Amino acid sequence: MSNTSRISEEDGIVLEISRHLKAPRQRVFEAWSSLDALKQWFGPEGCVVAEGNVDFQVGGQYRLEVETPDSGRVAVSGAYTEIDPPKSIAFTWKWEHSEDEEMQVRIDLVEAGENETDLQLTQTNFPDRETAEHHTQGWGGSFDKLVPVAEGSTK
Amino acid sequence: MIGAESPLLTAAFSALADPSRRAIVERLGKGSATVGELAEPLDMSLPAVSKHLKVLERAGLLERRRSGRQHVISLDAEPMAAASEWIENYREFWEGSFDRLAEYLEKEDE
Repeated sequence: MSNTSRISEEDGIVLEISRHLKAPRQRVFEAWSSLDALKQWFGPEGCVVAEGNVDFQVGGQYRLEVETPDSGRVAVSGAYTEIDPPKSIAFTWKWEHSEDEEMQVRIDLVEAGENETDLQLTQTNFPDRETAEHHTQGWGGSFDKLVPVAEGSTK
Repeated sequence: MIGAESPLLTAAFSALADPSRRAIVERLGKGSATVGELAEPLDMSLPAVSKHLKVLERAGLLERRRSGRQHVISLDAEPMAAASEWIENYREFWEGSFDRLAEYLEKEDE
């Protein structure tokens, strides 16, 4: 499992998270493809998808209202920009209460042996992955490297 | 856990995307310095360093004070801490979701 965050040229943040799952790729794909399935797992422990709608097709919209323990009810919404079953899904992402700009999320599913799947999430505020990759060349290390610098200087 | 204040963050991310500016920030992490002290080890001209300092300053990453005829530059880590928190929030969000996804897939299996 390799989880990294990078900052890229021109305002870009790239967050990558991988997870090995003990389920066939088709099943992992289906976990993303309907409101009923998303309700079972979307959001960290303590969060519940209270309401939502999912129009799982390219150009279709989704909206999930999440009941959270510390921020009340918040909604995230966006549109599907790419769906390639059972390999990949890409969608835009915006917390409606937040001033953050719209992000892009991409899910890649790679078969990893029988009935096992590697899920790779890439989140960025670039319009597509190619652009993001093109622009991340300049970032030689992880953002984490700068954190000790930040913390050290406040003491 | 969700969302954040944005303009300062975006400016910080943008400013830190440049390797020369990261080198300046890393150097300032070891202590404050004059423009000249920054330029020499980084092998940059004074105007080049000044240009980078302006970008970092606009992003709220630097503090400047005068000492006689010189400017002493030091790091203001707050935007970097905010940027790092922002990334951490998303990381926690997804990691937490994927914990539940793994459970859901296993449960479904039975």
